[in-house]
Amino acid sequence: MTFFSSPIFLTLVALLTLLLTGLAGAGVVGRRPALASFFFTLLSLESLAIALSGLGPLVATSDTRLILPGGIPGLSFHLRLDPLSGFFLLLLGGASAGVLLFSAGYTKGEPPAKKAQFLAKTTVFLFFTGGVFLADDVYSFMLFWEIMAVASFFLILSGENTEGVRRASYLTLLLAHGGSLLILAAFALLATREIPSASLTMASFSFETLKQNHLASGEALLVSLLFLLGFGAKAGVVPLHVWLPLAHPAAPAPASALLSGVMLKAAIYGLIRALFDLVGLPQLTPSFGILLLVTGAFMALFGILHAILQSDTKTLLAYSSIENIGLILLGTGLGILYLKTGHPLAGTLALCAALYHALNHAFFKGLLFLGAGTMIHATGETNLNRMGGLFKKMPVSGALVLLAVLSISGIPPTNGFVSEWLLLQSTLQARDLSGTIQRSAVLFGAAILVLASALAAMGFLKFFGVGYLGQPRSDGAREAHECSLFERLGMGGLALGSLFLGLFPSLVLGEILKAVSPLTSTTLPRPSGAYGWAWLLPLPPAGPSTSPLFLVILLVILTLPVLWLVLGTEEKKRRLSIPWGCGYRDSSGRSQATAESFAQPIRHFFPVFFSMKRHLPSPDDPDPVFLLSVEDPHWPLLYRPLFRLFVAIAEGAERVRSGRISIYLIYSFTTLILLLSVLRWH
Amino acid sequence: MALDPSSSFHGPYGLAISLLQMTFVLFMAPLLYGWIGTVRAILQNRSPAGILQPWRNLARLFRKEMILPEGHSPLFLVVPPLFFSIMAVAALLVPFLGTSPPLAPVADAVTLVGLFSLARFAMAMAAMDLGTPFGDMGGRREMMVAFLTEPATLMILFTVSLWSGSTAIPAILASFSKGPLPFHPSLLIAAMAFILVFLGENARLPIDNPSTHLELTMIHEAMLLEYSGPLLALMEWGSMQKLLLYLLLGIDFFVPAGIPRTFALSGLLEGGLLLLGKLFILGALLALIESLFAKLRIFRVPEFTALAYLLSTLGFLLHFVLEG
Repeated sequence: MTFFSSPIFLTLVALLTLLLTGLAGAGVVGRRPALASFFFTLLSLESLAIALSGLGPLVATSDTRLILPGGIPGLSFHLRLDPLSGFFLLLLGGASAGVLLFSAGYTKGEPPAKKAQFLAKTTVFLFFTGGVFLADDVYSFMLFWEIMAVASFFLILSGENTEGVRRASYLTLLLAHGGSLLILAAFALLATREIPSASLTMASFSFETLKQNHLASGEALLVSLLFLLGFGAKAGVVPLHVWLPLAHPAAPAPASALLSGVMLKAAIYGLIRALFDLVGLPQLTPSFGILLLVTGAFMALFGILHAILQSDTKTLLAYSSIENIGLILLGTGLGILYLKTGHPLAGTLALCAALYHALNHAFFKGLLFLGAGTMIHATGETNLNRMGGLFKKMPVSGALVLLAVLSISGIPPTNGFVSEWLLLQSTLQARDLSGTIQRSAVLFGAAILVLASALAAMGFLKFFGVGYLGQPRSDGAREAHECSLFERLGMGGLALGSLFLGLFPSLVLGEILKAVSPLTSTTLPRPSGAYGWAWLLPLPPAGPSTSPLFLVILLVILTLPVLWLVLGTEEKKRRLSIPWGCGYRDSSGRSQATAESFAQPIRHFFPVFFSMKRHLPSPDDPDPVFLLSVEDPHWPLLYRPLFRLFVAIAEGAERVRSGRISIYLIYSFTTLILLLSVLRWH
Repeated sequence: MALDPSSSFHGPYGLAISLLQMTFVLFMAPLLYGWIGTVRAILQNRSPAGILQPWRNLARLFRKEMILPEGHSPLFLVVPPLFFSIMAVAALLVPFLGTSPPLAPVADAVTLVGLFSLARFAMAMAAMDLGTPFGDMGGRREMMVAFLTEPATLMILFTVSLWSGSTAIPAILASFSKGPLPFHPSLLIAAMAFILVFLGENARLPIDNPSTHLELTMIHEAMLLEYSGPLLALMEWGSMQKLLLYLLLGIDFFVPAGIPRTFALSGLLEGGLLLLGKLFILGALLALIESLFAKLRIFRVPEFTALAYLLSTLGFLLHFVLEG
């Protein structure tokens, strides 16, 4: 294999083509706005090329490296394309192909300058996210990571220029940078533990040398925690999630789809790479696995409960992203726990399930965010309570959103069901564990997992039922219209991806396994035989099996004749009548259930998860006001006190600033004396 | 070793068995409903309409014209056939005539619960399709019941699958058939949870009253309010199948004795008779429960279902603590 046909070179070419096309497009579209659709379509095809280039190392299980000149003295750019990077590139390319195609239609009404900006921002974001997956040394990783974070800041800012949007993007940037510092600290700790620090050079910051670290067990835990918090800030790990529900509604729909579908996964990639590859499996402990498992389980429950409470379309989706990241972390934690207690098969299965869910989430959540974008464009409203009846006005995009809704609720035969099924199967391997704490932790994980999945069904029935079904709830919803062809095509692409992931799980699992088994040094047996590919059978031969494909076939075989028997033949015996509304007709649509009415039992049943303020007027109140505000408890309990503390410290520090030069001279003089005395001591 | 579960389909013989299973459930479900109604009527000093009454109702509904509400979307028409077929497909997957039905590998216990969840989601969507207050209320309340009964069902299934280590239902049954079962506290707790789940999932008293149309309390009936004629018949028939399927699952996990291993003709007859006996006893018990308890206030329902969820989790835990 020559250099020019090596997978990593082709991947780089694909990524660079995307970047250059995007930047060229940004230059051209400003003057020739009509070309925007052309450029978005081209970019979408190039994303598919990236996905293909990621599929390469998965199929061939190749592992190629490349060292490029540049970087900093003593450390040139190390790049590496292994199956894990390939998997995430596949995720990036697949999800962004649909999103970019969608953008061609979505940005139609925007001014040319904004279209150009959006082209540039998305491609820069995608290029550097791709770079994160390829980086093989600390410097290039952090460089790509930071540019990705900054690009995401600008992506969020490309929404409307309001106070809320600015605040949301600022908070995103703040937490991202806090996270980066922690990641950097973790890298530094790793680097200094590999060899005596005297010989610490720049070259010891390549991932290859970082892997040879010798951490004491306490240090390994510290480094793992730093990685968890650092990447967690970008993945939305509770309590560092507060930027997510603000940023997603602020960004335009395609940007939210990319942030949720791709960027959160980049954080997951970072975490998995850091834990399994850099810190190394031998240095991880079962207790860290349990920590990750419990964090994930808590996030899943917290995220979905808050999602059910939201009335704003995109805030709902943002909280549900927290749930899904929680499920991914739960799977990862479970994997570590099993692997470290001598159950490699179960551990591999859990990790595969986590990655499968990451891939699924990129597709169905991308689709949902795009769907939310079409809902908002069609009605001019963002609140679910002002939508309604959209399914009749937008049947195609509505049906695509319905697919994603079923999928995120973990209902068969969709892809969301497949990954939740795999996660559940891996929790059931708990009976092989020995420790009571370990077993109880996994049991707790399983119990939360099934609860979160049932709650997701409730939350997304609300999303679809209030938004798409029923009667229009506002003038905007009454005048809604189907979205443009490009938008439907983009959503259709993501839906096709989802369908494939749902109906051919065995094929997908086989490829994911190639990314996972180098990390766990174990592989799962595959179903074989003539129709082996149609079955999901992760632990043969005695293990449970399921086949979404056969299920669909059975359902179709039975439903179609019944449908035809009941509806197809008796055209004459049908008539229309007014639906029952207690004797009168409500044409305003206001007697329908509101989004809040779905949330009410949840609020009452899980009060500890919310900070609620309620004001009920007394019966003789002349001016009665009913007030209810529900908030994320992290704001009043954690962040606001923290902000107040910072302000107080800053104000205290302000007192030393008197404005007189003589005082400042005394400050400098004492500092000098102190420093000198410290030096003398050593 | 060939790892292709399709090999258990058994060609035409398997097809015959599958058709037999589906026919059994399709025909038995209304009869079981009639039996429960009869026992209920006797217990409540009313004269029963006979166990054929649900069949007569269905036949009448199928003959009737279809009155469709104004402003319905295609979803409204597609859901009843889909709901009906989901239950018919589930009838192929639950073992009751023999411990391993030919199509059982298509869905393990988790997938089966997922299928029921698809049916529920579809029904709730159809209920919300028109935007009438009752439909919305029914759909919402259905999900309020389900968000705890569904995880409880899964936890019960996990508990019974702990002996076999697999959620494949035939494997669970096989693990139970190894000699007489010793007393298992976890199974007892799981069975208690299953009764609560059963009442909640099938819209029975004390969660929901199947024979009421009282606006403030109805759940299941509120979702079906706009359906009429053949579409209503499909929904009702589907619900009857669901009740029977849940009973069959309960029999599989908690009173599995006597389910034949193979589908031989003699065993089939004997096993079938035994099964009918179990169904009649359990149906009578259900009628007794429904006659003894009053309907819960709707606000109390989550407490009831939470009890089911906690019990099922406790059963799972008990297995590890006491039996593991």
